[in-house]
Amino acid sequence: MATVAEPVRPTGAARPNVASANIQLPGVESYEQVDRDISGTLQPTAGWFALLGIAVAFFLWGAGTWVYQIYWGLGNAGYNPPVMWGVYIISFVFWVGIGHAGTLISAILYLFRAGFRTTIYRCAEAMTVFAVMTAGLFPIIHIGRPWKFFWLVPYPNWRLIWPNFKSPLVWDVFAISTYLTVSATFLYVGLIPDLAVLRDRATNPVKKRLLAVMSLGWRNSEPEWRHFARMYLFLAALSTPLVLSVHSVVSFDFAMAVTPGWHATIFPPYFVAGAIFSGIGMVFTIIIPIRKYFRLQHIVTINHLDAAAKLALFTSLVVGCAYLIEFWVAWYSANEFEQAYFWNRVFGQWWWAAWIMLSCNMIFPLSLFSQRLRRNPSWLFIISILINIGMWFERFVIIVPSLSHEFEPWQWSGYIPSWVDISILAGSFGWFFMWFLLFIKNLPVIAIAEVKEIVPPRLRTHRATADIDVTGHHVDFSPETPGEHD
Amino acid sequence: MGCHAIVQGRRAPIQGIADRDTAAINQLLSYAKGTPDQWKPIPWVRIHKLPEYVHFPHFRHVNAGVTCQTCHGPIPEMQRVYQYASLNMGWCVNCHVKGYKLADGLLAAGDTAAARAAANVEPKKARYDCAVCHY
Amino acid sequence: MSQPPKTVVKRREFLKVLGTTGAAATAVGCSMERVEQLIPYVVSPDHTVPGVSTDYATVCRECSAACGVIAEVRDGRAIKLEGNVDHPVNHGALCARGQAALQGLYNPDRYRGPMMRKDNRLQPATWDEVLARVRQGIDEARAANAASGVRFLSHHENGSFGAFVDQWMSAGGFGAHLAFDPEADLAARAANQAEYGSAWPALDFTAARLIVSIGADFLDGWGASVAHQLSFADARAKLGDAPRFVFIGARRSLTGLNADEWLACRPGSELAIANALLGAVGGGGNTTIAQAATASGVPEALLQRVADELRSTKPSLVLGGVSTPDAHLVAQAAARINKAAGNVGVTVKPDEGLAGLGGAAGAPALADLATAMNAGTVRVLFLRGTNPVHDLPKAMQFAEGLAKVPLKVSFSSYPDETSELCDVVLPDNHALESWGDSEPVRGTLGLQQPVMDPVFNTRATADVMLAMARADNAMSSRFPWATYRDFIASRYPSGRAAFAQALAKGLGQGTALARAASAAALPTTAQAIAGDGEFFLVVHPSPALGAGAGANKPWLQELPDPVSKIAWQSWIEIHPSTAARLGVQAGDNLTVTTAAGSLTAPAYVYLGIQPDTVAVALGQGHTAYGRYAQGIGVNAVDALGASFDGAGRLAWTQAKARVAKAGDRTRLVTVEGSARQHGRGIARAITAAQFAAGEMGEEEPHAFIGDASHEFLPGLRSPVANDAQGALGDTTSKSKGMYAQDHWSGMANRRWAMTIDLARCTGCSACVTACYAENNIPTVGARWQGRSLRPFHSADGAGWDNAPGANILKGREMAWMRIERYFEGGEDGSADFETRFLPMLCQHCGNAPCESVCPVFATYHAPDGLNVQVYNRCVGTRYCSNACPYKVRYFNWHGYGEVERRQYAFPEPLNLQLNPDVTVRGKGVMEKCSFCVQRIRDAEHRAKAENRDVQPDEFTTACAQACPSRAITFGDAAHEEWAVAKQVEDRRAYHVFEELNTYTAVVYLKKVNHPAAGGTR
Repeated sequence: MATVAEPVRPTGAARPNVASANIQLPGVESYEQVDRDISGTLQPTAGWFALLGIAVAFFLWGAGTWVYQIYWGLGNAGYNPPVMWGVYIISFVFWVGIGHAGTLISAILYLFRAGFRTTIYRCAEAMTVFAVMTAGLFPIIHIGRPWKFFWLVPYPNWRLIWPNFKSPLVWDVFAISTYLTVSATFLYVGLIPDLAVLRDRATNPVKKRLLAVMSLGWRNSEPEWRHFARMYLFLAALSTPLVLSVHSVVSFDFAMAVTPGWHATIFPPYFVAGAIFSGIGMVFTIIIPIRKYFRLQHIVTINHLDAAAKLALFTSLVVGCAYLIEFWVAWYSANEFEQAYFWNRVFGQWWWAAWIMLSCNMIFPLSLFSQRLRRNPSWLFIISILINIGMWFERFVIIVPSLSHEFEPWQWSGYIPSWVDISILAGSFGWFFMWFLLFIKNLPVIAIAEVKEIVPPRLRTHRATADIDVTGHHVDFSPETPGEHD
Repeated sequence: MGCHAIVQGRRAPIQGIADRDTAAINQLLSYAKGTPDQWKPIPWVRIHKLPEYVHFPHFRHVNAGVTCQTCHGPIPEMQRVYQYASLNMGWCVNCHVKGYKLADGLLAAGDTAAARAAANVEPKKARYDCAVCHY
Repeated sequence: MSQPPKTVVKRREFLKVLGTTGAAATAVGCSMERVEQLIPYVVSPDHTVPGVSTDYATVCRECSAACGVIAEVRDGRAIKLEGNVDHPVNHGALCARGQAALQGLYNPDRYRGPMMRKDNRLQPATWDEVLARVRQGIDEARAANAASGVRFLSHHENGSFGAFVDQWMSAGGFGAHLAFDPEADLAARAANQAEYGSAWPALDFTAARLIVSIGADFLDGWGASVAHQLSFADARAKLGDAPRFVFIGARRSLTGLNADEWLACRPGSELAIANALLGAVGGGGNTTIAQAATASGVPEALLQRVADELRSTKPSLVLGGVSTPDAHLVAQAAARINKAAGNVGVTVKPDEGLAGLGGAAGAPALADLATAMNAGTVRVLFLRGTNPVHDLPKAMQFAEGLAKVPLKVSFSSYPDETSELCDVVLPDNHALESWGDSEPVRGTLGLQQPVMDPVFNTRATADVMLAMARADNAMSSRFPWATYRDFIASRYPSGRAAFAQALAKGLGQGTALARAASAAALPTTAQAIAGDGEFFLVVHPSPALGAGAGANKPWLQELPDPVSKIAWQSWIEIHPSTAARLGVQAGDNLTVTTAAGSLTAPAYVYLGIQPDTVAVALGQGHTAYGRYAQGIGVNAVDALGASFDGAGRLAWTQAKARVAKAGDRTRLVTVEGSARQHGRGIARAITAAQFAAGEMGEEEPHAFIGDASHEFLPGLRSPVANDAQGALGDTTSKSKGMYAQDHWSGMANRRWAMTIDLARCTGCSACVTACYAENNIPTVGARWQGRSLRPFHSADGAGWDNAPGANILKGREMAWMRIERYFEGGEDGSADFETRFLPMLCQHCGNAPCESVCPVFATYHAPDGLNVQVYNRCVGTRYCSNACPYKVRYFNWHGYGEVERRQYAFPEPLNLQLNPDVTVRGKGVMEKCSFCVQRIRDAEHRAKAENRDVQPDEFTTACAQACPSRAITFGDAAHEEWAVAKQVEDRRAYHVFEELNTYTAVVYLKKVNHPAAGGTR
């Protein structure tokens, strides 16, 4: 672990270069404060109820539309053959992608001992679980006969037939369900000590009992901690390959078809990078308002955001590289279909979608090279929204232009989503945020136990850094983390 | 199917049971009152039905020597006709793959002698790819 | 054979149980719980085994050619029409319109019984009522001593019926009747009569070395197009030695698109060209090439070259069939060219002429009728099978006149514009429900017999007339026959017994009753094309809808026009350069204004039209005529005045017009994505020279396996269908099941495959409609079949996309087989462009991209090479369609097969046509061409029942059966006795996208072009 950065006097307007890997929480004095601050966020507020109401309303509208679609047929969605996949599959890939940052941050960064993950991983992990729950709905929503979906699941049946294990869609079934199971377990295991904290602080007997059961009678004893740490490590090790496998499998949905623009070996790494990129985008979208409105800036410090932003920048560069390689391969392959498709993608029919994708995922994130912007939560928030939009359009660009501009010129077409597509997409956001909002007011949105690990030991009475912030300025204590340039 | 050569409402005395009228048969007879142009069709209740997306040519099975009882069960013993075989896809496929044993069919038909004779007849198999029945 | 005998049980009740039709088939999953009752026949009718088809030979009445058809009848209902192989005109082929006759029979908008006008609207009545009303009208006329005021206007029908009506009329003391056929080229008939002594000589394209058509669309409705097409395709099949085909006209019709060269001439200048050519072959003619060139706008050199070619090439075949006021002179000139060039008897055979095409009334006769009606001298007017209110220009004031007639009796089966104005409707039986005869070629009788009981409470007009005659003292003596059948039978040369026998084949010796022919000499002059405006307006019949009779048949509405590929719509064709000049984009609404009226329709930018010409097709713009026709498109006749050619046919190309943008737009309901191949070698061609030189043409063959130019067995050599190769394949694999070559079922020894000869294919699209008919394909273009546009809507109309062809605008047409039309060249807007038609259907790849991606095995590879789609297993992921490079998989977006839905495609009684052998697909499943697997199974069953093997070419698919070009060959490519096995070895054979290693079972044979000397295209 890094130590406090060397205090540097600011000279003029020059900004000191602060080691952003610094995960110390100068704003936190004691373990009690951690308990207090974090569990304090669990009190429902009017604003929260309002947001929850909106989310539920969106979800209900989407659900209603789905029922409508099941009755009246998929024809009411905007499909325009040969564009046989549209908003639903786009959103499926989008949500699965979102679902990647969580495990990456909680598992992989854990194994890499990247300290800045400590304060954000709980959020990310919850986001992962809910995102995968959302993604899992879309394959069912998009098929023609949803009531027959179980035919994709291998089970002994009187028809004496099995699913086609050659089909990537069947692989999806396994990939998604495994991922959901493991990430949910991981989330829960990580929660156990915190649940114990809540149990101890709970006053309502029913709630206390419930938490007691959920915390599996955690007593904070040394052997418990030993087992816990082992368990956590193993789960981390177990879910690490999943981060790579799931989106690789999802990418096979496309790479396995001969369709120009899909049939590329670069897809698995390209998709995984994109997924992590979009996931981190969504983490920012969620964590920045939370730390602001829950007044947790002193726990989720700007340094943590800075570090995460660097991760975003890196994945953005990988994704951008993948984009460029795609074009290069199209040219190098001398495959007329491939070339025609990529030309049409950027300069033809779909130029606008392609340029939204390129600018949001490749160009704007370059701004994160600037430390000043990296340390500016508002800018990070804006960028994160752009990333979300850009990554949704990445999937749009992969799916729609490919299908609308295939081998057969006679069958070239267009695509415009209908109100049904849009409603169900909106509904999926409602569904996601409904769960997330319920989560943040019922479970600690920041890992209490792990935060305590990085709080300076209690016994030190005079804290060397009490009156010096990470940038070396003398300040009186305030819950606001200094060094932020809002 | 021509199972009954003669149909009459009045049942002759057998095994000590006195002769009597059978309502059901009389009802059937009532459909055939008067001259043929006055006859009414008998609204048979349908027991065996395959979904419409299944194409089942009876004659292929009959020609292959499958006895009626193999699928329809012991109709003569049935007080009220019921569906004997499950008629689900697994049931069909099993027979198509494993093959139809003539001996079993004859046994079901109650022709034990013939069944014994046919004991060594090779099971008759049939195609089992989907498009044989589903198109 | 005769009518299926009456059953005690109502036919339809009976069908409810036996037919595997829509409602039931879409009930997904097992429906064994539902309690059903089986209602058997009490007395089983002869010739009818439940579930087994009976074939009846009869006559197609969709146009005057009167082709022979075989109606397949299952459980008392006709389910499919196919050509009669023995018939001298169509030899087993049948065009799209013929196929669609079934939808006339089962049209949901037919009059369900007699109608009578009460308190000023038509209301159902009984036959006694309506007949009494008619008798009363006739008596009144007689009483007023105006028997001549009783008039009869009938659709021209090939056969005895016309003469029968004349007899009836004269017996009643009324005048002779008028027969009207809006599509008949009277000019050509009159000219032929005058020059050859035969109204419609047989045309032998195979004998010709050069074909020159001056506006004659012999492939799309000009005369007996099926007969022409058969001969033309045979001529083209001579490949290197095939005749060169030059088309002269203002618009490239389907026929024009099949030409090797197009001389784009100004409308009305055809006569000059014809005369110039006549001069060139030394047949007189008063026009020089130079004059013709200036008159027509065709470069003189070009015209000179064609003239020289015509002079030097013998034998040739010159056809004149324009629709300008001087059409009769053009036709005459063309006939004289043939005489001068010595083609008569070689390519033009008057003594083998198609007999039935004579004797239709010209429009002037109709004009006289209209005048008489307006003058009030017509007391009773009978109308049968004709719709003058829609087909004739407003200027003739037919509707107005109709209003002045005291009693208007319509025998129409459909509520069309004319019958809606009548006082009494005595709905006629459909041709498939009635008796009749025809004389397709001289000396041969085509016998028409009912193939089923009438669907509705209708009666055959002839029988009604006989009944009326017998009830009428004046006429009864002359009409001893009880029914029209007796009438026909009594006229049959060798007696009733022979007649009954002949019915089985639908053909017999003898002649139809002839009408008194009116031999009027052709006028030597003609009106010029009149009107102001910088554009010529060319109006032409639609290949599918004709002059409008086809508009109420969804199959024909759904069939994309072979030229523009537009369906469910009217459009105005305009040349790219003109469009650019006027700033018109495809889809911009244009208003075409002539002296007579104006039309507004979306523009279709089309290479194949003169820059100073716009063209509109007939057929649409109905204000009545049922749910499928009403309110769709515009009626081109509205822009025409009462101007006729010398033979009395309404001149469709008669006026100049002003063209202006209407300001708004209408999206074109087209199935065309891109009309260019972008160098992808989908539809390939080779020039005759290259073919002779043994070159492969445009693209040299790739030297890898699967290339059709190699020793070839489609599919069986593909890696993924490895297991399908049995012994040929991976020998390490132990269990191959039915895929093993030596498996007892022997399925892996078959490879069902198809070849399509692009040299023969003319793009007529008959195969498409045949496929709709055979495979229960829903039509999706009707305006109530669209999707919803907003959350809350009423079930009726509001909130739904009600535009005609709404689904097709979204690319959701269901045609398992489609005809792609690609243009080559002409990018600069020049007339020198080539068209290639490519029928595209499931290629049944041996190495199918769609099979590996389906998660539930709903599509898989059958051992006999079929790429099977199992509807009831499909969950609708549509992944297969994404993977398919040919884009031949179609998805059921709405419940087209579900009765209770507004998108239901088979409103009763259209559902009676559904083929019981084919599952009606439900909502949310994928479907595609199955190579008519039901026919394959049927053949296998038959073979098994007769304890033999399936014989080579014993059966074929619906498309191949219907194809009037004989371009499609289907069969087992794994056994060389089958014709297809030889075809796939052809030098011209290739696969589409063979570089994808899909190992398709559909093999195309390159088109062969015949460019002018020095030309490339």
